Amino acid sequence: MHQDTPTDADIAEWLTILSVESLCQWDVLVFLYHHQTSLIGADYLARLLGYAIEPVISALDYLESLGFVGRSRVSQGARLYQFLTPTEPPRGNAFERLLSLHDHRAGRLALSKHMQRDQSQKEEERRNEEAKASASAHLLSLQHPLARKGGGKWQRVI
Amino acid sequence: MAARDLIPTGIPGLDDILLGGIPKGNVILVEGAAGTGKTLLGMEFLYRGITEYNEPGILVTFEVAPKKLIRDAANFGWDFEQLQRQNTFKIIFTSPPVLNHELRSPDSLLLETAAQMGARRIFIDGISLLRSVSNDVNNAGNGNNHGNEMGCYRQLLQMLLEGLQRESLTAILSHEVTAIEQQAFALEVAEFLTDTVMVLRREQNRRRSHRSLEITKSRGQDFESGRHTLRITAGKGLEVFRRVQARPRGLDLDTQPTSSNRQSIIGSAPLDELFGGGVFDGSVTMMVGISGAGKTVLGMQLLLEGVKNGKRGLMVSLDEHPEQVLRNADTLGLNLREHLDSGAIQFFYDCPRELELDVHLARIEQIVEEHHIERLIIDGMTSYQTALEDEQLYREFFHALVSFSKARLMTTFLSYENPELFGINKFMPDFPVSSIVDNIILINFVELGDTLRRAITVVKARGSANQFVTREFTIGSGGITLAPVDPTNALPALPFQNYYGLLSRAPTRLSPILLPGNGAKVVATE
Repeated sequence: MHQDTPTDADIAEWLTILSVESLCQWDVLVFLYHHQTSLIGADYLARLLGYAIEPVISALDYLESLGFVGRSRVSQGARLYQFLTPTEPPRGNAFERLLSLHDHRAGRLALSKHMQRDQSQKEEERRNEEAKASASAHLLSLQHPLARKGGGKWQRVI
Repeated sequence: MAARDLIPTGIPGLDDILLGGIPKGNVILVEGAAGTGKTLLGMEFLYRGITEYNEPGILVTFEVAPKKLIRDAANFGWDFEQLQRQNTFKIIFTSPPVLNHELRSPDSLLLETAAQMGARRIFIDGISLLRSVSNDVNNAGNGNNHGNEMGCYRQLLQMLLEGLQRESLTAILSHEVTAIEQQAFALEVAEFLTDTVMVLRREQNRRRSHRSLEITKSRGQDFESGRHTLRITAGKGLEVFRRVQARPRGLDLDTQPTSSNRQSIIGSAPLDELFGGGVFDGSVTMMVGISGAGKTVLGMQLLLEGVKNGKRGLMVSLDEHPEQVLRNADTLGLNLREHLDSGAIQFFYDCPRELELDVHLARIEQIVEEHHIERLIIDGMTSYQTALEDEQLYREFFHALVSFSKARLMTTFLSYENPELFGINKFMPDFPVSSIVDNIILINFVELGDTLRRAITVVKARGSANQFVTREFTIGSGGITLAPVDPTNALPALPFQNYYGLLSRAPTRLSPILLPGNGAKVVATE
């Protein structure tokens, strides 16, 4: 292994700095970086990258909200997408490091694994959060029966 | 067309053959097979426009990743990254269907961007891909019909040209040439609609590859026709070299410059006398002789004699590297090196392998112009013949060289290796050019006893009373020296009747006792 090979923790940190959450977002970001200015529709971009159109549209929205891309008005189903280079040091640096990782297969696999893991972790966290919320609501309903008035399901239980 | 109405492409040599540039607003079609340099030509057109003429530009690409284009351009020293930061250049990646819609749209984002940047030039790479859109349009409508398809494509291109014209953009569209029939039709449509058509080729000649550029059409202007050499050089970019056959610039046949001034040959009075007092300025002299007879030494002396009289010289060689020539000059005590260092003499050595004549002649012309050369030595016309392996091309080069030389009133000496060791049956056995040159010097070996000795004869000297005398010369310290002649020891000039075998080229003098009037009869013997 090369001594400069980043650790999982490095990759996680850079992704956090960039706020990139999914592989689709990353792929869209890299495409826009390589093409700088693209006059295309989201459908064409999705086809080129091998994704369904919905996640690509979401990714474009998200990347725009992060300030990575500027979008023009819609004209005939297409927009002019302009990649905006991150200027502030932590983001710029994180982007450069991830790009150089993206340049070789091992790096891309590591990145992809990481983002899939992130994705499943986030999914799991989301499910845990939902379960927690549901359990708290249940507990709350048990502790405060009066509060359940009109709450159909629980009324029937009780 | 007035110069102000022409837009220089900025590509070295291309504006020359376009006689100044492209008419403003013209749409140029650049066609060629893969790898002929279409994308590079378009990119250099944009780069030169921005950096040399302050004309921002846009590149539209369908297939190649812009980052790769920028990376490749950097190999030629074109910093498009910086131009992008300055907002004078933009690469727009798009798809053929989007461009198609864009062209129909009155509020086109592409043209809006062009207007915002103040773009004056645009390059659309791979216009043939629009044909796939016209296919879709056609198939969606009236079914798969070839005629309709071409009609749709024509309409699509017309819309594109209309849009470009609206924004006053000077555009280059690249179009791939393939063997596919439909592509060929599409190309023909594009050729009809665009204003200027440039064809790029890469041709194989045995194991050589030769790039060329030809302008086949350009509305509103004259141009240099024919296939000109195109060179792509790392770190520089494209360069177009006029074909050698093209008419020499600034040469008006009615006002061909001529001179009545004579120049000395090598500062040797006897040799100048052979010429009847030197050679005329602007004359072309061929030095013919076998290898080793002394042609190069004579060439070096001609240069040095020129410098002595304030004439700058150039020696062109395909045979010998400058260092070798200098070493030989040093051996003979000829101070060529000193004059080379001072710039009074230039040396141009070109490798005969892969010799590109257009490039070679352009380089000679450039050196002559830059250094105000008045005396030119081409050492080894035979090497051109060997390198080119094409008699027609060789002949054309020869004519071009002579025309250029005469147009500049430059005194030129060409050496030609004649393979005949003793005696000469022909001046030039392979390709006779003796009628083109003004003067011919023969340099031969003569075998006397067991020794080879050198002889020089001036057999042709236009406009001069040259002496038809063969003189012996030696090569030693100081170069060529003519052996002295003792006039008292010379044979009397006798009439032809004193010889027999005149037409056999080996005349023999009759014995005086056999001559009529001396009481003897001539007896013919077999």
